[in-house]
Amino acid sequence: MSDPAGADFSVFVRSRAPALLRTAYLLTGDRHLAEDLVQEALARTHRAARRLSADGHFEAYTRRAMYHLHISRWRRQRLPETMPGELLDVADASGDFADRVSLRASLHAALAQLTRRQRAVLVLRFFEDRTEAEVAEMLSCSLGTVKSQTSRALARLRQIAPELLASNVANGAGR
Amino acid sequence: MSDDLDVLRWNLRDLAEEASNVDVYDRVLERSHRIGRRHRRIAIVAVAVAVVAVVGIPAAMAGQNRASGPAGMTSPSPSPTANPQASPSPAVPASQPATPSAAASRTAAAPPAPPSRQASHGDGCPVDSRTLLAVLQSSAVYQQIAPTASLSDVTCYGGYALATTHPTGADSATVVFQYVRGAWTAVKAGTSGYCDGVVPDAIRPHLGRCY
Repeated sequence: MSDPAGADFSVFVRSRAPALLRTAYLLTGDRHLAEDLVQEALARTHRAARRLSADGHFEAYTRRAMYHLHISRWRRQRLPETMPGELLDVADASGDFADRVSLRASLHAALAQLTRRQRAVLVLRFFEDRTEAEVAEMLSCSLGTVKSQTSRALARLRQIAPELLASNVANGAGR
Repeated sequence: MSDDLDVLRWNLRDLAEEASNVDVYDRVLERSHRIGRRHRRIAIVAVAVAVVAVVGIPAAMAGQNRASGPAGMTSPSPSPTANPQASPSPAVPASQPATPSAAASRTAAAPPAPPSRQASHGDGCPVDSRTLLAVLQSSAVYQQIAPTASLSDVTCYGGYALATTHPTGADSATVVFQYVRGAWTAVKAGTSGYCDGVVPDAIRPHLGRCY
């Protein structure tokens, strides 16, 4: 790569693609769709690479593009939601490997039943640990929208898979 | 009841580990170039549409104006040459002069219309030579001059007319005619002094030959 921006972009992609793919997988619920989403977001970042000279801008631009693509473009394509069979039974709290797999599958199915915006809000808030203000800025919406979407998403999860939101009282764990 | 969101966080991280870990760099570059080509095509199409809008629409409007004729001239034309009706055309008919000077030159060059077809102003003028000849030949004045088969140099003004005879073997004479109660009459003839006592002084200058 001859130009500095291209070299920086190459380093960025090779170092950060795994993390981007993990986020994209939570957003889409499908490995192939996640790869497609990350590639599209990175391609757009590459088109703007010369403008994004400062360190850290690549990632911010790519993640922002990824969330917006997920909400807008994927919605226009009307891709079918992935629903891997029926919801699993509620796992007990024994914490063994089988239960861990069961919870993971339960979360995967529950996320598929949320709206794309609700899923994006959950991923940003509880996977990337962003503040509500950061989420609002990332999704280009108001703080109130983030709060309402988060509330609805959690309510939906509580309804679909209550084991993913075990209460302090039920668990007896003070968090 | 408060939710334990850490359970959700742990499970999100756990689930995210299922994502594939592949090298996407080459595919990203390929897709980036594809986006660039698509943007170039869109730009070319946009330029083509703009050119059609700038050039084609005025041309089509000019064509409509041409087809609709003068009624279409009410709409403004963006180009001064777009409306052929506004520019001078060599195909203008001779009966529709484009300028006053051209009309004057054409009138001067054209042969005069027959006097009988010209409008009368109530004083008998204008009058043609054949009318005056017929009047002359049926009058008493004709008995005083050499016989003539034609008249020429007719001038007419204010109810009076002069005409020149062309007798064979004799000098030409001038005949004075007067328009009275809607008819011409031959009043006097001669080679000189024929206006005296007949044509008022105010009329003489207009007849041209009242010496």
